[in-house]
Amino acid sequence: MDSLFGVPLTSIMIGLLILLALSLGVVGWVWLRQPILFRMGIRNLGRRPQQTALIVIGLTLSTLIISAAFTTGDTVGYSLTSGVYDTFEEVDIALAYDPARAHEGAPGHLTDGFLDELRAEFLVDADVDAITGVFARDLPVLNTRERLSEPSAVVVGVDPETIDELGALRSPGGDGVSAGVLGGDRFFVSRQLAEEINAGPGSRLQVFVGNEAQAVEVVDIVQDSSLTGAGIQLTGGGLVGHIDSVRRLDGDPGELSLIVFSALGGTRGSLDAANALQERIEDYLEETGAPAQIAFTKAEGVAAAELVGSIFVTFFLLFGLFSIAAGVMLIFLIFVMLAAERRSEMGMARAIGMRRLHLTEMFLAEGSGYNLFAAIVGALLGVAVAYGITWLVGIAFADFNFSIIFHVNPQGFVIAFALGVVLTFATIAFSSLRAANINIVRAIRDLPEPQPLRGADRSLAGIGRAAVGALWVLAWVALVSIWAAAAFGAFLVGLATYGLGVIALLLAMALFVLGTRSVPRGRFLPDNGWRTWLLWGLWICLFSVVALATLVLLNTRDWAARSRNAGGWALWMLVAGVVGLWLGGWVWGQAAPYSGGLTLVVLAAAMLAVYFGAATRAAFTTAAGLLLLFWLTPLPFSLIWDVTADDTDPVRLIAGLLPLIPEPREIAGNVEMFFVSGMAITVSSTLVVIFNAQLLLALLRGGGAVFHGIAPAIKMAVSYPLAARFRTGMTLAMFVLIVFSLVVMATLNYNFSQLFFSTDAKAGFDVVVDGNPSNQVGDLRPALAGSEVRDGELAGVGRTRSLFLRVGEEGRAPPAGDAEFYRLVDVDREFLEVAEIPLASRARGYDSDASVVEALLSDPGTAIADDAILGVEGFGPGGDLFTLSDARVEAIRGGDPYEPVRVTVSDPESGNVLELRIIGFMEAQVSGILPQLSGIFAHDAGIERLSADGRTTETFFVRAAGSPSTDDLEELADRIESTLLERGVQASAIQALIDDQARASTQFQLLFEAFMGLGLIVGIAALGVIAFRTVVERRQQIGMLRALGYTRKLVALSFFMESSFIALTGIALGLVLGTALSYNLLTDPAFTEGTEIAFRFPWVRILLISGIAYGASALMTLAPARAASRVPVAEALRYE
Amino acid sequence: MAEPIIEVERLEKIYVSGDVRTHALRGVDLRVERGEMLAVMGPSGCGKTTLLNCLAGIDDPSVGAVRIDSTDLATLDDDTRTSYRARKMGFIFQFYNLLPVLSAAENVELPLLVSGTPPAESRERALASLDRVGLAQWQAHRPAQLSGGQRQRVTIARALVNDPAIVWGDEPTGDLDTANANEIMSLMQELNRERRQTFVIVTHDPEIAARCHRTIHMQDGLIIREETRAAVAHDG
Repeated sequence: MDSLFGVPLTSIMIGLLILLALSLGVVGWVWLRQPILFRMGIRNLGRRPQQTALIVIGLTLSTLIISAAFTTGDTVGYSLTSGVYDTFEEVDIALAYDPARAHEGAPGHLTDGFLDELRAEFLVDADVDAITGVFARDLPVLNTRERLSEPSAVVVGVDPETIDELGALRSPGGDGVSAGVLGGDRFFVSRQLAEEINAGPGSRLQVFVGNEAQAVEVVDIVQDSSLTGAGIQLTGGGLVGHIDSVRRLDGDPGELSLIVFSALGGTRGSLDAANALQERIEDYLEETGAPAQIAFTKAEGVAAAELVGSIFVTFFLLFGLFSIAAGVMLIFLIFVMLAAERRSEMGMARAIGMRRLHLTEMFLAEGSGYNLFAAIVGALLGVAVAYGITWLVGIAFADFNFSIIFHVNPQGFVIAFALGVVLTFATIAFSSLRAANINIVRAIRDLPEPQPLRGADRSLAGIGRAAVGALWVLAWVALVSIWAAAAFGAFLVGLATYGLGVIALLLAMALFVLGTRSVPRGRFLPDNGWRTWLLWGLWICLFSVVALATLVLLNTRDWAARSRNAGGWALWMLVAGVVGLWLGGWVWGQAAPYSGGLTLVVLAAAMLAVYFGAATRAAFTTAAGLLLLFWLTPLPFSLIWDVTADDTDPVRLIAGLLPLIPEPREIAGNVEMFFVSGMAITVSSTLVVIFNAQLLLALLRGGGAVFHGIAPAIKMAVSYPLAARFRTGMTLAMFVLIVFSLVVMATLNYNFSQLFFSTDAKAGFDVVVDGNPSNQVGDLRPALAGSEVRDGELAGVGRTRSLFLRVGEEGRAPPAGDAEFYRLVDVDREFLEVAEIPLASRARGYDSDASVVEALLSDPGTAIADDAILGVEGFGPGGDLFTLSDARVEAIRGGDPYEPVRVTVSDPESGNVLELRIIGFMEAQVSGILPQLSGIFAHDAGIERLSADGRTTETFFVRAAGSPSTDDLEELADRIESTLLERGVQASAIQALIDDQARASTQFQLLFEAFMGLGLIVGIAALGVIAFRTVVERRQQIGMLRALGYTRKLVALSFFMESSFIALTGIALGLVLGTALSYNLLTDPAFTEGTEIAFRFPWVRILLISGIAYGASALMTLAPARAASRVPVAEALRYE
Repeated sequence: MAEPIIEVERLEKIYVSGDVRTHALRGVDLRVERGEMLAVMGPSGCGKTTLLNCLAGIDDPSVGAVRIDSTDLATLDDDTRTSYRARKMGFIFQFYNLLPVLSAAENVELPLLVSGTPPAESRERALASLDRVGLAQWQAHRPAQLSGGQRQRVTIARALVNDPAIVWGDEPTGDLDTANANEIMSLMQELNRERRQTFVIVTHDPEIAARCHRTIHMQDGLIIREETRAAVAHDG
């Protein structure tokens, strides 16, 4: 993997290393300048080992997530890339016949003549190693002695002379194998096929063509490669013979399937040469108009593999963002708690002369101690987690021929470590600045700090000054960080080689002077003698300005005091929100900055209202309530709010009312909105709960009346968290965030699985039988007559024949290249009579699915099509195949009846054309499992007449009689396959295919959810930190409660219930909000692309998630609860 | 002779911290009668608070016996002793020890909740107790919103809400100014008279001690002197 989000990994790494150096430089500067403070900070690490352990665990998680995401992506990418190299070996570029460029009357395939032309043109090319042509067919192969068969083996014909130049044939041990022995009936067998049919040197095999057996002899076993079908299609390996031998089996003299090029550089070193060669080949094909196109390249395979790896990293990082955000909250919470714990200590320290900066430096030293240790542990643990993930991925996809090679990219590891350190450092620095911001008297006497939002000077000028103060703090932090890192860097250089440092400085100065002198004459300044002095003067002026700015900044320290009121920050938040709103709504049309900006604006408005005197509870409840309404409307449980989706955008509503404000652009969002919405919903819901917890308290008081025995424990369990709003809110938010994300992910996964793995994917059939183009069956029933398959077992048999043909849409210019082509499926009457294909939309005049089927049966000019022809939105291009125009798709997806879509289907070789009217489109889930159910389906379309050579792909769909089990159907499929072995058919029970895919999909989903669930560790660690902390904080109160009559059990229970209260509230909120958002998404046609989904709640998964979340929280609380119950009463009462 | 409610025999308490053994009580014998108001005086570190803790059953003596209402505390397990404390005793501490997260009324009703009194009755009795100490209108305030004197009144209301036989006071006026200290002491005297409750008060203040029926003086873990008053001043 070379890049992430389009940015090269090396650039990301260098950027992060600079930030890492800056962070470490600041810490080093503290160590250098304030060794006592540094030691004081570091000594705090050992004060409470249990708490330190929990803090390190909490800090570890962000780095772990990042490291795991990178390593998983690297491993998947590397495994796929290795698979590509192993498959392609020396083959770099393969050309195939291009029907779109075919001339009338020309042979419908590549020829030896064309190969000769290419060899004459390109063998002289410095980048070319070899060029050869191959002829291939999918054919059934039988080992008669063993009675073992493979219905679809790739039988490849090669030219011994040129294939040896390519060096593409290798023994299983990796040695080169000469094709010189091939000829007549002598063939190589690929290892996969050899294992499948138990063949080896000397084996006699039968290959079936045109329903007749042809005998071949195996002379040796070769490795599977792109030439034996590996990696190109899911076949059971192949046979390699002399090209003339294979042509004699099934082909024309001189016919070629592929022409392959090998570029210089071997298997792994040829990509650059191949890319250059590819351009020249494309130019040549363009110039000559030859009917050939590049079918596949090794570079594409490698790029696709790397893209998959990059997608893995991106997805794991993106969905890991919830955990990373929770981790940042935990770091912040921990430092706020540490500051609260040491408040009076810090007050004393300030009283005896310590400056605020000193306190900040002390916290920074302590935080860096946790940070560095946690980051290295996190990065290593991330690698271990990735190992587990990729091992499970390997198991989940074992049936798909995907082998995992564990791989750690050092760049990814360094990025994870550096990002972990920098992220934590930034949070610690912010928390430290906040922690040091104390009033000495209030701190010493442990009096509460005043409301941080309430403005002392409630005027516009006052808030302006506060905003200037906030900006000053930011500038000051940046400046001090740079100075500190530079000073520490200079110290390190000096420490290593003091003299060398001086020399380096002098050299730098000399180079500067020389550089200044070497400025070309007349380029920047007039060409005269004093230009050098002028340049010097300009430099000095520049430095003076910077120095002056620094001086001014350092001499305006009083301004910092103004930043202590949060009103100033609220003003900047408002500005940032407005900018986001404007960029997202009117410039980019992007949902993330638009909705994120709107959220910031609303929250900032509440903060400013409080600054100017509004009641805190009213302001935040109103703002957060409005935000919840904005993010969750239309609410699934709302009875009074029934508005259309457009009306839920308040900005659009305001713009509609105020003529001066133009309407925002159309807003588009992508997968990042999952995180943005999660954060906004979490913050809003937490604010609503925290500021209205009294209602909850009243409810629980009612509960206390019912549970007499534990009423005192309930009272304590609820009163404490509600009194400590900040820490409760932060912990609650962590739980909400993680549970919310898990619930949304689980619900979406579950509903989409239910949709795509439903019985709709069977289309009313039980067994699918794929025919072999070289051995057509024609009619399945007679073909099975007299076999082990009784006619009574088959309740219905539909036959389809399909072909990829050029498609044109009425009133639209033809698209380019492959995008012109789509599959035409000609179905027989029985197929239509038996099939149960739900339609997502029907053209005007067709009231029901039955009326569409009736029309198909009676009117050969009508057709239906699968959902893919409408294109895929949201996640990039939908593929290379034909899709209808956007306007048409919009009309079809709109939900109202539309005019039938007129298309022409033609064969470029024969020039034959068929006109069709598409009168219905299938539900997406129909073709989700069986690719045979995708295409334009018409009855009696005369597909053979369209095709130049009459070759079509034949498929049978069987409905079994009665209600057989999946095992019975698999057995029926086996009997059909073995009866028609010589025809090379492949039969499968459709339910078994659905089950296999559903299993793999479910395993992957669970793995992904487990990865996201790592974030729960953060919430649980937070509960643990708080619980341990409160035992210390409330020691005296515990003593008093015990004196008043609280038994040990009651004390333990109240601590346990307190943590449970937070965890359960968080889990419940996450559940409700996650379900609400999932419901909205799944019932929104824009999200489901018109597919109607019957919302189902994944009870088992949700109960599992909730159970694990609560169970782990409860376990974490047991130790502190026990510690609280064992506090010695007399000693605690003396405790101060 | 009146009936003793507290009987102490040869009470010793040794604190062990590493290799250091501190003899906090060295064999204290004491009898306190029902309805008596006893002051315990002595210099810092003489063992006053340790004695109080052992009498109240919140600390275990190393040697000797404490009998409250003829019940030997040593024979009770922790839970039973805790319940016994909830029923029979009330506590007034120097630093109030009110729960900062609860209102005055909620603080006062805590002992009732612990002893299983229904919530409605608990609230009613808590308000009555607050009324008795003159803080009915402050019931919804949290401790941080009350003055030192008011907080100590809440503590007294809490100590008396379950009508205990004994009230333990550890420097109950130690954190108050003279005026407030006098007020609190008067309140305790009134309650002592009205309810015949026994008060054991640890104090440094001779004026407070002078308002009790009897004063014992301690030094180095022993009672070295005892003063009994026939009549005590009520107004300080």
